[in-house]
Amino acid sequence: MIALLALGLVGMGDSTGEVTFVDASLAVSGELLFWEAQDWDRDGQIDLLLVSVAPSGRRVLHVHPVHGQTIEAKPSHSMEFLGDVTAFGLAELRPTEPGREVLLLSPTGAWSYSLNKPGYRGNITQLFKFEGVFDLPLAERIGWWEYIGPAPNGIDQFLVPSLAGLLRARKTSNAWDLSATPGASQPKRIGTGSLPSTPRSATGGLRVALEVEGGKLRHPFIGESSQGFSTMARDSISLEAPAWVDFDGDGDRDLLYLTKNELVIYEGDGNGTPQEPIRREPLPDYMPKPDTKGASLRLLDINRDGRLDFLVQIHKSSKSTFSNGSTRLLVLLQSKTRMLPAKPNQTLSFAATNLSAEVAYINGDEHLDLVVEQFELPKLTAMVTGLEFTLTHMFYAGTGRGFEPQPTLRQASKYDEEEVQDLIVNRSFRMDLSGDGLADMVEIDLQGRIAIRRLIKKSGFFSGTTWSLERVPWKRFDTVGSIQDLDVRDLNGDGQGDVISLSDTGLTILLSSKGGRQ
Amino acid sequence: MNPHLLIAGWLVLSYPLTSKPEGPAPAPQDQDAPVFSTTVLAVDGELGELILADVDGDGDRDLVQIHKEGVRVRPMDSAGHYAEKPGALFPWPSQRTAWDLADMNGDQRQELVLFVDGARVLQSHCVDGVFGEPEELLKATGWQPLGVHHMRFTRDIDGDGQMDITIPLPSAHQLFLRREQGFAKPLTIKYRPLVDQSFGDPNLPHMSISQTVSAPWFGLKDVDGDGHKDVVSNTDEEVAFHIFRQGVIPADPTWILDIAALTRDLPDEKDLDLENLLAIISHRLEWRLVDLDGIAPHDLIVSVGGKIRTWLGGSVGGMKGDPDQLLLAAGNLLWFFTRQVEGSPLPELQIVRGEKIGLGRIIRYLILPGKITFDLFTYRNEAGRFSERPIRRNKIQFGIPRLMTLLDDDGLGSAVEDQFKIPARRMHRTSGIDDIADLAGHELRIYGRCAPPASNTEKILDGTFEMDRFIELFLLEDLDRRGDGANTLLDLGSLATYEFSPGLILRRTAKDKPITFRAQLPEGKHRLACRDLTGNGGSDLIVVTDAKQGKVVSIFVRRP
Repeated sequence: MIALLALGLVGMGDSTGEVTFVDASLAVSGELLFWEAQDWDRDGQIDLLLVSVAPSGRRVLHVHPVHGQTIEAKPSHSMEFLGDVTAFGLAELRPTEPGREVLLLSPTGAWSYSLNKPGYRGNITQLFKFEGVFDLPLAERIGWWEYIGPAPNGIDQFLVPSLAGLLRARKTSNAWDLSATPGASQPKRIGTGSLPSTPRSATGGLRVALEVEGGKLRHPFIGESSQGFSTMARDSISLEAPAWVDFDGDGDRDLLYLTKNELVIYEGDGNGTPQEPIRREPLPDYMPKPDTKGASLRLLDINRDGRLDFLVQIHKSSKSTFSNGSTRLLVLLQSKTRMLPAKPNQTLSFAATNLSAEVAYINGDEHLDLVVEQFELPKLTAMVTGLEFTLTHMFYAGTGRGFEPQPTLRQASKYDEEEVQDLIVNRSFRMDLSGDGLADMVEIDLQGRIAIRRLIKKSGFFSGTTWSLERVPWKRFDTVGSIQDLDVRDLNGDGQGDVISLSDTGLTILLSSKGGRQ
Repeated sequence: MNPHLLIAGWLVLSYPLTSKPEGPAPAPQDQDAPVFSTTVLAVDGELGELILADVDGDGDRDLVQIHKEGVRVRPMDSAGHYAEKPGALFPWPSQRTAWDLADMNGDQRQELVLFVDGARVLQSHCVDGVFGEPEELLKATGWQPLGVHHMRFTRDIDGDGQMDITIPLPSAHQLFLRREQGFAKPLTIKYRPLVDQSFGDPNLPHMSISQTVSAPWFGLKDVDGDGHKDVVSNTDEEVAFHIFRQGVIPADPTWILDIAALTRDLPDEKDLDLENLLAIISHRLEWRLVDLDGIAPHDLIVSVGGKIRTWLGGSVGGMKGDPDQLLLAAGNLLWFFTRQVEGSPLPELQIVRGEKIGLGRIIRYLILPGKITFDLFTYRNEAGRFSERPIRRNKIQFGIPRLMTLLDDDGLGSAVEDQFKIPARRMHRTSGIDDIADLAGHELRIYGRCAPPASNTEKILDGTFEMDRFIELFLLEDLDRRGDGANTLLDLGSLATYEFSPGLILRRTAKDKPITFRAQLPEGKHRLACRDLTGNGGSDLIVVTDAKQGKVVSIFVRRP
C-alpha cells in the first residue's frame, strides 16, 4: 500500500480559530474494501484498520494508529489474508500476548493470527474445524465478524456461522468447545432447480427440503421457474441471528431473540449463557412482527438506567405511489419487571415518504436526543403551482424518560424540481465538531464536497431559546469524500467528531484539532 | 404407496379423451377436432418437481419426478398416457449431488448425469422406467453447494454432437470436452460469481447471516462466422473469446476485449450528471461482431464514450493496431445497430442519439406530459467502411404522459400487465394453420385452425428475448420503409389501448370461431403451456391448476 498523508490545515477557517481540521486522508494502491476504528492493542488510542485488495490481487490488512492530529501513514502492523479467509474479527485469543489477535474464519475452520508476529510461520493456529456458511472465499471481499465477546477465563468466546446453525465457541482448559448457540434455529437453504436441501438430518442421513411458498410447491415443472438459463448454479443459505448484547445491564452478554410471537432472552451470568431461556415475553399488539416490511428496531439505553430499550420505527407507505406515507417512532423502555412495556412509553408520528431517525447527544446535556430527517413529497393540491419537496431536520430533546413531545429544532427547506439535486446529500447529525458542545451537521454532496453546518442556540430575554442549523456552512473543505459513505466519530480522543468517508481509492479523514491553529 | 414420498394425492387418471369428455361436444363432422390422451395428476407439495424428458429413447417425453430421496420415472406409453405408477426410486448417491438430464451417448435417450461430492461425474441410464446403477464418467474437482441441486452442467460446447461437461470452480469454469477416448484435459474460463453475503450485527435482534451464490453460464456463439460456435466468457473487466479452430477450442483466449482498460478514462457511474442523465448510457461500452465487408472472418465494432471504431477481421484478432475506421458522434450516443436498411447485402450503421435530459425535467414529467426525442442516423456501408455523413435522418419521439398516472397500481402498468395475463396460446399443428388453446373459467377450449400469423410480440417472446430484435420489430422496420426524414411518435400514455400481448391477439381472433375441443378442469387458478411432448412438431398441452387441495397437472397429448 502506498499510504499518503497529506498534512495541512484544510478548514477554511472562520474568525473563531478554535477548531480546525487536518486532512489525514489515507490513499491505497489497489481498492479499499473496508475500514474499522478499534483500539486493537489496548493502548488507549484508536487504530484504523484498513483492508484493501493490493495490485497483486491479495487482500491485505494495514493498521494505522491515530496519534492526536496525525495518522501514521506507514502502517504499524500489516498482514496478508490467505485465499480461503471469508471473514475476520479481533478477539482476545492469546492472553499472554499484548493486544488482541485476528480471528480468521475459513469455509472449514477458525484460526488465530497475531499481528505482533510477522508472517504465518509459527503464528497461525487452528482453533477448531467447522463447516461454514461462507464457503466461497472471494479475492475482492472479506467479512467483518463481530459476534465476539468476553468470557470468564479471559479468552474471548465467539459465535460461528456453520451449516448446522450458529455455534458458540468457548475455550476450556485445553481445547475449544463448540456447541449449539442456545435458542439458535437451523439454517434455511434454497438452491438451483428449486430442489434445495437442508444439510443433514439428526441421524446423519440425507435431508432435502423443497422450495415451497406458503407450504405449496411454487413451480411443479423445472424450467418454469423465473431462474434463467444464464445461471448455471445458485445456492442460498441463511441463519437467523440473535442480538448478543448486555441487555439487562448486569455486565454480561445476553442472547436476545425476537421471534414472531415473543421476545426471548438467554441471560448471561458471568459463567456463560444457559441453554434454556431465562425470560420470555409475548410481543404486545403494538410491536411489529420481525419481518414486517417497513419496520426496524434498535437497542439503545435511552433512559440511561443500564438496561437496553427499544426504538421502533414503523413506516406505512401510501397506497398512491406519489404521496407521503406515515411513520411512527415508538420508544419502549425496559423496566426491572418487563422487557417490553404494556403500552409504548412514547409514540411520535410523521407524514413522510422517507424518514430517518437516530439517537445521539445533540444539545449538550446528559440525555440522549432524537434526531429526525423527514422528506415530504408535495401534496396533490399543491402540485398545480409546481412541485415542491420538503426536507425537515428536527431534534427532540431527551428527557431521561424518552424525548420531548415537540421538536426543539424544526428547520424545513423547500426544493423545486430544478433544485432537487441539492437534496441528494449524505448527512450526519450526531456529534459536536465545532467545539461548542452542540452537535453539528456534516454533509457530503454528489461531487464529494464536504461541509459542516453548526447547530446554533440563541437565547433572549423576550424571545426565549431558539435553535437553528446554519444556512451557510461553517466550514467547507477542499478535500473531497464520497457521497456513498460518511461517518463521524471521535478518532483522536479529543471529544470532537472527525469526518471519515470511504471510497475505492482510500479513506478521506478530516481530524479535528481543538485549541487554535497549529 | 411409499409413505416417505408423501405423495398424498397422486391421482392418475389416464384415459383417452375423445373430443367430448365434458361440456359441449364439437361438431361430429369436424375432421380437425383433436383427440387427446390425458393424464391428470393431483400432486402434493412434498412430491418434488417434474421434468419432461425422453429417458427411454422412444421420442416421447417421459415424466421424471425429482423427489427429495431420489428420482422416479413415469414413461409415456405409445398411446400417449403416462404410467399409473412410477418406477422404482433411484436414490441420490450423496448429500452433495448436482443432477442434470442429457443425452450423453447420442442414442436419443436422456441420461441422469450426476456431479457428486465435488469430485466425480456419474451417469445412469433408464431401463424399463428405472434409472440404474450409475457409472463413473469423469473425475473432476469443483465447487458444489451441499444438498441436491439441479445444475445445468451438461452442454455440447464444441458442436460435435456429444455432450460435454462443465464443472464450476469459485471463479472459473472447467470445460471437459468429450472425445472418443473419454474427456480431454479441461479448458478453464474465468467468470465472476454473483455473491451476496451478510455477516449480521450482534447489536440488532433478528439479523440474518446469509450467503447467496450464483454461478453464471458462459456464452456459446459463432463470433467469427465460420459456422462453429465459439466460447465467450464475460466478467466485469473483460470478455474472453476462445475461437474454435481446426476442431479445437483453445484453452487460452484467442483474444480479450479489455473492458476495464477501455472504460478506465470514462466518468464513473457514480459521477451522475444530473443535467444530462442520458450521459451515463452514452459512456457505456458496446461491442458487436458482424460481417461488415463481406470477407471472412467477422469484423469488430466497439463504441465507447461517443467514439465508434471498427476493426475488419477483428472477430479473431480483436483491437489489434489502429482501427480501420473511427467515427465520432456528438451528443449522447446511446445505442448503435448494424442492420440492412438500404437493401444491400452489407449492413448499414445506425446510431441513436439522445437529447440532454436533466433531473428537473424528469420530475416535471410527474405532473406534466412531455416528449423525449431521439435521433436515428443511418450511415451507408461501402465495402466495410461507413459513410462520413448519415444518409438517413429519422426521429423517434416518445410521448410521456403524466408519470404519476403510471406509478399507481391501477394505472397504465396494470392495464398492460392484464393483457399478458390472458392465457390464450398458439397450438402448433404439424401442417396447415395452427389452433388456438384458451381457458374460459375452468374449461379448456381449443379453436381449430384459426391462429393468425405470429404477431411481433409473439415472435419476440417465442425464444430468447433480444433487445435489438425488439427495437427493430417495433420501431426500426417501420422507419426503414418510410425512408429519410420520417419520424415516429410512440405515445406511452396510450400503450394500454395497443393490442400487443399474444394472449389478447389470439383470444380476439378465436372469438366467434367454433370450439373444436373442450375439457373441464378442476377449480382453481390455471396456467396453460403448449409443448411438443411427442417430438412430432405439433403442440401438446399442459395445464397446471392451483386447486384448493394442491396443484393439479393435466397433460393432454395429441393423438395423430
